[in-house]
Amino acid sequence: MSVLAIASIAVQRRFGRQRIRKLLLGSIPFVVLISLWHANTVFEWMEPVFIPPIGDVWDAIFLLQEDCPGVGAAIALDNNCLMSTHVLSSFGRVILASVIGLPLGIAFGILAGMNRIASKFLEPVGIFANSISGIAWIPLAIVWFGVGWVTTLFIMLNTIFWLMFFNSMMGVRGVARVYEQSVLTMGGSRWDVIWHVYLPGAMPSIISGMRMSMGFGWRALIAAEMIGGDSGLGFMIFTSAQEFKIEEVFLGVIIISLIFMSTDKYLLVPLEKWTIQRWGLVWKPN
Amino acid sequence: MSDVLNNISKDSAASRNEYETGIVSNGKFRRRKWYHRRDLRFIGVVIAIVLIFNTYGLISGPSRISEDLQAAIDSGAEKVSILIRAKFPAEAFHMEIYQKIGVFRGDVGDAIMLTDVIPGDVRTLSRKYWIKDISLAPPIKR
Amino acid sequence: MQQKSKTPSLAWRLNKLLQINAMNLVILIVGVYFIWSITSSLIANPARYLPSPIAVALSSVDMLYKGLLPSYFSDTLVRLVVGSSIGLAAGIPFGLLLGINRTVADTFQPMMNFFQSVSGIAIFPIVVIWWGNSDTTVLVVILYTSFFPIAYTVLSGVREVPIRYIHAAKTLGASRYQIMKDVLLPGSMPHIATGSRLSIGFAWRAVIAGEMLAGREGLGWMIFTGQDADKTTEVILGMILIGVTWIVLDHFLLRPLEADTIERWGLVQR
Repeated sequence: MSVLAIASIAVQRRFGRQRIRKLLLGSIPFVVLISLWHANTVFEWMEPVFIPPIGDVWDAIFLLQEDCPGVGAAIALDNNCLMSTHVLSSFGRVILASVIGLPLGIAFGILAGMNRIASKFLEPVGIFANSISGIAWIPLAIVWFGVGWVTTLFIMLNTIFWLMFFNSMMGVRGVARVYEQSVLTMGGSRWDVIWHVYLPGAMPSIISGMRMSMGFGWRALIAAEMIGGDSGLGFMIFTSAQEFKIEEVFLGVIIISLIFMSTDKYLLVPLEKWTIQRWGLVWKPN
Repeated sequence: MSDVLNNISKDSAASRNEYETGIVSNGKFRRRKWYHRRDLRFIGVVIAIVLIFNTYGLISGPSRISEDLQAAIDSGAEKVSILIRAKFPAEAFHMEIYQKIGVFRGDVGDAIMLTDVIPGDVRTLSRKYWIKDISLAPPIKR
Repeated sequence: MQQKSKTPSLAWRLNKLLQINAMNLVILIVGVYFIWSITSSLIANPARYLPSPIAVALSSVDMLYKGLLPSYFSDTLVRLVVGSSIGLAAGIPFGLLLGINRTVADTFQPMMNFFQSVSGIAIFPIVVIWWGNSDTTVLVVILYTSFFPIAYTVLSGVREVPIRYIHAAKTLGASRYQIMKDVLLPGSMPHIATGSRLSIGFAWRAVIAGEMLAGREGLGWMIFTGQDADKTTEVILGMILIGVTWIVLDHFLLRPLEADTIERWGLVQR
């Protein structure tokens, strides 16, 4: 057998044949796309204002950062370090909004779901608030809070809160009353009921709601930064588009998609698998 | 007559028996007709609304064109100058519509004067429900 | 033993009242109206921050009178219908193609993942550089947003058709085209219906966002310029209309369509 055959068999044994196959097949469209992109620059099919050269996009990372005084200023969100400021402020808003919005939404949702009559009343509220997408709240938020980071934070918080509220309320309502009654019979307090019955019982709803709300919240955040923000990734790509600096737009879009893909793949999906596998629940609400 | 009465009492007896014993004797399975579906009814309502709206416009359109304007159009003028009177002072939205069909030449009283309007556009404009009337503009004094 | 006289308690009466159909909705609307009016009269500058419901209603009547509202509303709906139909028409065949052949699916799925995570909102600046602030931009954004949910759902739907049926069709001598027409397409109909509902939901959000960003006239534009021109009544009216429109569309068109499709085409596993 030739060296190539021995080497390929060894690689397949080490990494898994199907995994390598998927990797190779999956990268073909990317390779084609990138080569078309580069060919566009070389052969000049479309003007550079529509599709920038790849080198320009890479250089834009450093060009945006070049006025930066240093790492300390970058962390302090100095206005000169454009790249890091925008990325960090978007990230910061995501984290802040999740940290505030997720527990609030879950707490209110569980409380609303516990009382059957209250949940019957609040269900239309949840449906209505969810149908006004987070993006439609942006002008109202601008009226209330002006253009700035408060607006963007509010939009993401709003989106996350209503989604989590509705999902956890529906999840709690789906738990059979027998469990609550059995815990109360055995002398449990209300808190015991919440902790041992409602929270685990509504967990699939809550986890899938978490995943949905992060997805929708992130998109609403980008939109809010575009329309009513003063810093952040959405703001960066929108203003760059207005100034026709397409390499920055491309860069921003690639960064957004990388962030979203990685959080979805490495944070949210494992979270979903871990909780659903742990409780053995496979129900996926629509 | 008596057998009708007999049938009526038989029916009620049958339904009472149905109720008491819980057994549905006659299989009156009614197939759900396709036009009873909620989504088809909704689409029907939407189409009806659109049709009514447009028909109303078509019917009330000619009444908004004044006679001299109608005469000018009928005599085959290629472009006419019109005075548009709406029920309220024109806003940006309306000005955009006006400027799409003709050249804005200022307002005369509470009407807007447009020149260089094709008769087809005049007809389309007359069908909108917020227009009060459209009349022929007096010739521009040079 | 004496029989206790049963005067209906307050809780029993409330319960009976609530059992009238949609009574909770009526009570909710009345309650929201009161809370809204009270809050609006308590804050400092209600005309700018939270107009009372009556002001919003008057503004809606005013806009109807002036012919603004029907025009905006129909513009938005037309964009939604056109954009999502093109998106569905592109997404369903693509999903079918990906579902049938595993190699094709493995090839295109990572790229689909990548482009899906660039949501329609983030692709907007690129599209606006290419096509300017026009209707085409909004349509492209709607298309982009509505393409991926339906493609993914159809992909998973085709994969979930039990392989017994495909084998059975092959045993009876079906060609590949016949397998697709008679087994895969009907088998994935429920998923197509569910995916259409998801996809139109995404498209609705994209219409509003696209109109806001590209400045084309419609509901989204109405709330955006209302905020700019300090007409908060228009903003709130627009928001209510957006919510109500989606609820009406979902409840009367999309969900019954999905339920009926599942009822007709859904596979019953025994």
